[in-house]
Amino acid sequence: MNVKIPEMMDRPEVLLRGNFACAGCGLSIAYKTAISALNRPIVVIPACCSSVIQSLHPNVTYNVPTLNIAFAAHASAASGIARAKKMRGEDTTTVVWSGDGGTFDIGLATWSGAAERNENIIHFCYDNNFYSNTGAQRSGATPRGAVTTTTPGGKKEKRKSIVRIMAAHDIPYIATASIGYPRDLYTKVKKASLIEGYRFILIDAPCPTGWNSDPALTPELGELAVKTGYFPLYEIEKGKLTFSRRGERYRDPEKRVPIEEYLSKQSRFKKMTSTQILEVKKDIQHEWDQLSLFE
Amino acid sequence: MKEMVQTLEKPQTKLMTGSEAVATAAKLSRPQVIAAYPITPQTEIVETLSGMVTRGELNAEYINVESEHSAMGAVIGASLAGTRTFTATSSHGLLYMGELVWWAGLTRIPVVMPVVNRSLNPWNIWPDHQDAMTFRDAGWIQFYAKNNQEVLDLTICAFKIAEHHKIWMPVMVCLDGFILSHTTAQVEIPSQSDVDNFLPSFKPLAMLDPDDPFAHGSLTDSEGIWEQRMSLIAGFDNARVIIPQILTEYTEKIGRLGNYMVEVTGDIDNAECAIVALGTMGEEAEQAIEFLAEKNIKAVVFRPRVFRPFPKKELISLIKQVPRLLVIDRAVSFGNAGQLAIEIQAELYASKVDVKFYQIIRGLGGKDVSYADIAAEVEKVLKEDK
Amino acid sequence: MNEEIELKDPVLPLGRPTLGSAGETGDWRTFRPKFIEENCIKCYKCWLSCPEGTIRVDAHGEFPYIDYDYCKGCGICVHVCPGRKKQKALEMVPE
Repeated sequence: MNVKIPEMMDRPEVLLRGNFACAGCGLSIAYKTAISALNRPIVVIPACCSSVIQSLHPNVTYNVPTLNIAFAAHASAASGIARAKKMRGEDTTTVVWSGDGGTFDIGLATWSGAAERNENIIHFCYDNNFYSNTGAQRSGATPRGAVTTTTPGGKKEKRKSIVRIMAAHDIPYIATASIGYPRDLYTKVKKASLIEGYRFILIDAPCPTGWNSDPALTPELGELAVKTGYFPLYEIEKGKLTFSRRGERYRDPEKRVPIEEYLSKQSRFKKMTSTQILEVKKDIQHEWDQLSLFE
Repeated sequence: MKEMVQTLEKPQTKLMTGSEAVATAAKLSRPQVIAAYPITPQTEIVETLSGMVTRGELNAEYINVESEHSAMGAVIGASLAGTRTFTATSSHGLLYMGELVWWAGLTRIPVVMPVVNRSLNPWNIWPDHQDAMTFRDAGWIQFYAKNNQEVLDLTICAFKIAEHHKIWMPVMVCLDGFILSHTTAQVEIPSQSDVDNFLPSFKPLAMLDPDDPFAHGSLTDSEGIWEQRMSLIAGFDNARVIIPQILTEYTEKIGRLGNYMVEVTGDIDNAECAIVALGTMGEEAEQAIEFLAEKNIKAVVFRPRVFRPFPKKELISLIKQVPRLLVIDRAVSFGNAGQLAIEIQAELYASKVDVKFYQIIRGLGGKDVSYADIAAEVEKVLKEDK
Repeated sequence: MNEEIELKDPVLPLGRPTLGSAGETGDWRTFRPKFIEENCIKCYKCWLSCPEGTIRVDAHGEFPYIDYDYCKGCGICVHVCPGRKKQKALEMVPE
């Protein structure tokens, strides 16, 4: 069961008002929901939009201890923190807060090493489907057909299934969540915080600036990604996958909202051909089929 | 072999490799988090330390990272989380770590890292200084040791220097691969209590702490970068003053080391030529002057054991006393010359010192440089400058 | 070494949590959300989804209010508001 809103109200204010985030920023919703659910977090941030929205030194928008580190060093730096705090006997929660560039692409080796060692870290990947802080270039998380500044004709390849790669490490907890469903996200983070070892939560975080969408629609795009089956919500605990209550019904392609409704609200998909849309539908089904094997 | 580095109640003398000297020094310094990735010829250091941690001889967290990049990432995190940290690498490992070597230098992370000097590609495992020289600008203090004893002593001092609150920056202790790392020599090992008396526990200047949150290394404008860079320059000025003090303290409490930034061997007053070289090549030069003495040629060796901060004053005051100078580099700044030669030349001009200056590059890719070779070079200098 | 030089303390790259670290971001708005109290059912969805944290609630059971100093005017609060009998408790009005 998801937490009720009143239960969330005494959460600490981890993201202070008046920062560099764009209006309608999805990652801000993700950050304040996820990090506020944790006990004494220490957050490691590699190069990503979160290293930009924190504002200019010496002022910082994050109200929790934060280590900024190089792009491909998030999970290694977090490993160091987690081990050091263990040595010091301090009760803290070590967090990696990385974008999809840092998780899917350049930082893959560092988290794979940390996951294989089962370091006591919660790794969040806020996924906005591209390199957002450098101005919307293609990443391994960019979906087929999306226009980015380095795929001006639309990306030709499907997006990487980072969760299935992560699942191959047999870590104790994996979940997907969306800023369209903040209570579901908060509940999953609370659950993850009670587990020891390497935990991974992938958060769908729409980016109105890069997706060319209405900032007011940020949560709705999160919801639509779930309802179209494009971004399934589930947890993998000890290797066993359970689809979340919010998302399970979209296993049935008949019950899914047509993907066109999701795509049409973002100018980044405006160059997609009907053939590509069909391929995207196949991509969606393929991912569900693969995930079902983990059930 | 590994049990020789048990906790010692009393000082002892042992035969050990340079790698074991590093591991022994590290153990005596009580690092709390160690992260390292193996690379020839550094492997024995990490194998020895992981063994010590596994057997409970060293109370530390040992992180078996998947790369050198992650090794430095882990020690940066661990250092900022409030622990004494240690890593070691060599050659391509240092290059792969490079981004975070700079990160640690520029954001002031007091980690200690021996670098077992090894050539770069094409594949070659033998010693030269190209690896460490590549990072001379990265905001790290750099020592170059001449023998296994100095490796041990400087590694222990490195922690105290790195963690001095007026310095607070990373330290590299460079030792020539194989010539030191794999060669057994006699080493005096201090007792644990003597080291504890010299090196207090880690006292962080700033620590990641939920009760007092800060962001480390956040987005910074030009003003902020300027302020931090000026502070780093000032930090090296502080280090020039503090390093000899710490070396003095070590020598008084533990012994041997001496507080000099540049070691002088030979009779400077009558020297016809001075030789400047780093690390084991400096020690080889010491042999060369004995060889030359037999031919009635008087030479002296200036061996800087600190390269960063560059000991300009010490070198200049010595160079002023000799008529000729032969600088031997074991690395090159391609397109110019050896780094040691370049830096000494700059200082000679700044200080208006009139000396006959000669520079050579030797020993790249581990090419052997014997005392006889060095002696021959000195003779060549004397012949050219009649 | 007997030199007497002033040893300066290191400047570490530390930033401190600051409200309005990027200034008064309320200046960014072209439209502002306006609260209509009679339509509010206190579901707090606006509070939950506000990226900036500028929808404030003092305690459960209280009406939310808006910190206009920092509200960037994205309109998410209006969009997620279910309102009472389809009458939203928030609307966007031009600045």
